[in-house]
Amino acid sequence: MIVAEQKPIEEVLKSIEPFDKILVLGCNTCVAVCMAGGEKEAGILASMIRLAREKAGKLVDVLEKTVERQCDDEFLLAEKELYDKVEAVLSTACGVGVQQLSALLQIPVLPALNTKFMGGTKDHGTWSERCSGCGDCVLELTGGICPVSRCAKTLLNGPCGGSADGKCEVNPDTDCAWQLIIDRMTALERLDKLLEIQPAKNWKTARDGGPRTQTREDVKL
Amino acid sequence: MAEFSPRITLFCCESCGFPAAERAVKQGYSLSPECRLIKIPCTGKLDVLYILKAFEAGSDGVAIAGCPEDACRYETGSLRAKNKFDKTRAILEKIGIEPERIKRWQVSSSMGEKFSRLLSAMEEELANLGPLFPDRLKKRGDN
Amino acid sequence: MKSGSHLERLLDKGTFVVTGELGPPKSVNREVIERKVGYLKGMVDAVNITDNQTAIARMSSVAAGVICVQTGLEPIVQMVCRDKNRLALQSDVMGAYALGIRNILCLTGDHQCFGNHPECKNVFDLDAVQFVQMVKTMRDEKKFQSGEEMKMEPRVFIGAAANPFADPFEFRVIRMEKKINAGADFIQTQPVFDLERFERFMELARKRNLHKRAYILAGVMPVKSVRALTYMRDSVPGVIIPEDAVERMGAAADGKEEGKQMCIEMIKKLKDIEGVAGIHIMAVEWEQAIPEIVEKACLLPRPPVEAPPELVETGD
Ligand code: SF4
Ligand code: SF4
Repeated sequence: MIVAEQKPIEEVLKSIEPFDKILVLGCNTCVAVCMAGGEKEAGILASMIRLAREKAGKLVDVLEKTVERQCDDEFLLAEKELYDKVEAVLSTACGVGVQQLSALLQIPVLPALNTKFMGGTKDHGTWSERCSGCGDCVLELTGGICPVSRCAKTLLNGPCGGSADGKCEVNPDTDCAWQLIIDRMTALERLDKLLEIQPAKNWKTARDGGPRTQTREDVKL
Repeated sequence: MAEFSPRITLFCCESCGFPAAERAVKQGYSLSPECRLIKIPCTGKLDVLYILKAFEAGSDGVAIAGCPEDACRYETGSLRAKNKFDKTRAILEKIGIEPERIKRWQVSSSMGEKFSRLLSAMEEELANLGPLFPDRLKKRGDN
Repeated sequence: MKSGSHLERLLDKGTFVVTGELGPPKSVNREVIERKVGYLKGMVDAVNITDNQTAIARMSSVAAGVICVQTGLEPIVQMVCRDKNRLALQSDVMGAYALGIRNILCLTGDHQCFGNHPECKNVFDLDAVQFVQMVKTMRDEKKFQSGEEMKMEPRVFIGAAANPFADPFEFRVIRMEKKINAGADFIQTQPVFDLERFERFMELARKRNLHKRAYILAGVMPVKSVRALTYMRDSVPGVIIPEDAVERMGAAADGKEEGKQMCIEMIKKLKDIEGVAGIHIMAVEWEQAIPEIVEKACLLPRPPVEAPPELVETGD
């Protein structure tokens, strides 16, 4: 899922300051799972905004709605009449959802979240980064542990000299991805794979090649 | 202007908080008409959103009356309530509302006297703080 | 002869070499480098010029290396993957060579969170192994990393680092081997405080014949106080300081003297380990200590610097 967290409320309040009528739009997919922007969080945010603005003596009308996914026009267009009633939309989706909606509307669509990474649930309330979408997956070579997103230096021939006691030099709370890779490859009896030099990576398939688009002709209508 | 009597929403669990309130009344405590008791199965079920909604709906203060932490009917309910309470306090502070407007009490069903003492103290404190939204007070009719 | 550098020629002759370390200034002052060269000249055969070490912005290692050449001491210019992509690294290697630099040490680099610009974006386009491979391709195949041909190649002596004290231990030798397979001509290790672990590392290296395939220089570091020692133990990742070293420093009346003495003793022990081709002394911001250490470790006099052999250069 895409993992995000709510922006500081001060920042949100500042961004909606010029408006007297807004829509807080939640997203019930990734950001609901990571408890940042689903229906419940959108509700709390709307409530916080009403209270804060009334307290500051500047009442605001806050509408609330949550859609299944903000990254598909289909779900966004279904709420058309709501957008006409407000001066701005505060979206609690990831950055993708904010942009998807913004492209459809003539009014400002503001982000309520900071979108952080693609990750999985580690334990309740903790999510960890797992993939940075490099476009050329190497997991086969690394025992299913991604060095691109999980090694602080994106090393393909790790570990660096800072790996100690299984932890990364950057942060003693973070596992060294390369220690994990070596342990895993040892367990899989594939350690010999790591003796091969991984050549310089082709970053063209990653963000470095410019913004990416994917088209599937076979599913086009 | 007549003396301000704060509006308080009390979320009381059915095992401890609510019976304690009933006991207080039986012992002669007179509940202010501005106080609303809401009976919930367990304070652990309480959500930040409900508390904020209570403020939005016009409460000047919110109290959560649940079981003592070590004697909760649902074991961890009272502890869960503490998490929500802490979180809500932090939110109030961030949006410019005095965190004193929310209280969390641990009372067993027999503690009628403690209940009345805590509520009176809260009423006094809120009276000193004044209404949450003074502008609304003018409009506050008979509801 | 790959580069004809003084360092390479000495190692090829079987001389037990001594290298030092010099941190460029956090300013434009070239005199700092000239002064430090003054302490080191005649005491070491070549000197490492660090590249924004611990992610602190300093004078560029190539520029400082050139000043070193001009002052008469052979530099080993360090370059890290943290700050530069393959374009910038290749252009620096070519530029360094054109300005007379003959030894390059290819490193990954410390993470920027340790330095004075923790908010910067890092690069890590390549890792150190791939960096070594790229420089070797430039030198031996006259090709850029992309495969494009180059008319005149940088004939540099290629170095890499190894840290026997980081984890996982067994893989440390394998990673050194990867660097040697990639094309490293010499290896410098992180400073040895834990001799027993280093001996085990060298034993594994000898088993894999690595000491015959590249020159391994053992690192040492004189420390000034027990505080410096425990700081490294507790706060620098990938460093192992044995308890008896801490006790000995703690009990010393004069920390600086004891630090030098311990360093001298360590050098003498390292010299006897099979496969150790030289010593790399990291006296960071304490270059003045080097002459005494080198002398008392019986490493003087250093062999004279001879004129480099003529390299046949072709193309443009
Ligand atoms: S290698 Fe690339 S695609 Fe595969 S998990 Fe890592 S970042 Fe994602
Ligand atoms: S310690 Fe491990 S995870 Fe951290 S940068 Fe080094 S190799 Fe990568």
